[in-house]
Amino acid sequence: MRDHPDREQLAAWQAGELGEPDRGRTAAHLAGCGACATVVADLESARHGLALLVEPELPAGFHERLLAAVERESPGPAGTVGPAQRRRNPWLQRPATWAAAAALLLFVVGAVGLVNLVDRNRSDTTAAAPASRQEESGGGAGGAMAPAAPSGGALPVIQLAGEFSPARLPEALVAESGGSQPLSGSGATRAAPQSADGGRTDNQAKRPPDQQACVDRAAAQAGGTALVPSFFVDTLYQGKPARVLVATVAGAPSQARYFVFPGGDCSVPPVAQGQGNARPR
Amino acid sequence: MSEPTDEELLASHLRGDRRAFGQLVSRHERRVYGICLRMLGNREDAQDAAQEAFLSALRRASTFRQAAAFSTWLYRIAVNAATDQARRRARTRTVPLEPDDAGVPVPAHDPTDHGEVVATAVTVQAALAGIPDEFRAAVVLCDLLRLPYAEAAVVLEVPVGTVKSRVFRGRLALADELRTEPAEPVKAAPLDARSVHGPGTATLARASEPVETDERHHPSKE
Repeated sequence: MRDHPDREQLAAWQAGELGEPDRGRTAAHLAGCGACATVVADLESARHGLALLVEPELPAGFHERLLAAVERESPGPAGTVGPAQRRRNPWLQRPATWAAAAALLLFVVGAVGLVNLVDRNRSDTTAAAPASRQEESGGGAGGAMAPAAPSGGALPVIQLAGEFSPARLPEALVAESGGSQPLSGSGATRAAPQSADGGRTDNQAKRPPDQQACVDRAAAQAGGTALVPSFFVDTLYQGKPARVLVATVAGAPSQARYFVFPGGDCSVPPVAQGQGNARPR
Repeated sequence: MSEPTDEELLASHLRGDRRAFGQLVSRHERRVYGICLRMLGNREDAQDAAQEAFLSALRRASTFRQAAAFSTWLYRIAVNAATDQARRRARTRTVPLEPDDAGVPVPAHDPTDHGEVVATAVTVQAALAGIPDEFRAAVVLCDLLRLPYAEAAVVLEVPVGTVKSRVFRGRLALADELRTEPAEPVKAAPLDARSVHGPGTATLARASEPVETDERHHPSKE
């Protein structure tokens, strides 16, 4: 009989965030250990309870008080624009969305690298693309591995203002290799849109069909390469709205692949795709 | 044209548009207040911290870098403001939450059920106040605001792996809090309907509302 898994490991298992071989070992242990099963049940209760804490209403009058306080602290009389204020803000005068886009990719792909370092063992066990895809999706056609999906089904969606450029991804990835930490003070991500309800989303929900369609399309494009979908970027491509799927390659966590779907329509093949290095040094 | 982005509004503000920052306040005040409320556990402190967060963002607007999403930057300021507020208040007493603070929507159909949900949400908020600050911030950002781990990592200025670890440990601590919550009688909620629910709800229902639920109607306040 092996030792009990530590509690944090049980929490990771409960969240579907544990990689192999720990995932299988933990599941096997839980089947025969009432004490650990109780910890997991309590974790489920806690998460169930957290889901009750929806975004609170503002107290009456708070909005007005807030605006009044902001107004009091705002510099200068109304309507005037001081030259000093103008100078502070040079970046808006030019459409500097490129740098923002590059920095965002630089950060999120670095994060993918970190996650994949943790999950490397798990990735090594997934040899074939279809098997990997189902395992990672938790909501694929097979559905047998539902508990394996990280925190339920939906992949994060990041909003990126400005134009996405395939040429920029490898560039950003090379630049990123200098740091495994999130950018200090300047990292850029945006909340997933579905988070706006403050926590009532069903965390165990399967991946939305539109996301799954994109993952399937990308997998088809990748041929025999097993992809681990990481997140989406909603952005512009050639001036039009597009959704970019960023994935890593199972067994090779240092590789990031991306697939650009025009208008977020994944019923058609991606208009562009490519790859780069995702592993932080 | 579509609505200006947060970043464009901030730029307008820096150019001297006096309405721009107010628009940013309107867009984000609920989430900032929500962060502060969940971090601090009572409305007075949460309002102070949320206001301080916006004033701090206003003062530091020119230091905002375009590489960050405004919201990410603002959430970091909010978390810091809530942390400062928690330090500032010398008292350890916690002002009990009112039912509305639990953010529970009022259902039109079943008042019985509503009573139970209020008790449970308030209990969870009370339990949340009992876990270590570091874990609570991660749980608030990831489990309540549903930020991706990567964004929470930027907000908290720690690696993604650290965020995950804090979320997991926070959930464990919360589970412990809920399990050990003293079983006081719940005055505001009917008890009899509880046994029909699944084990998760039953576990939560064992815990009670925090004290003084019968004094919600603050006669002297508001």
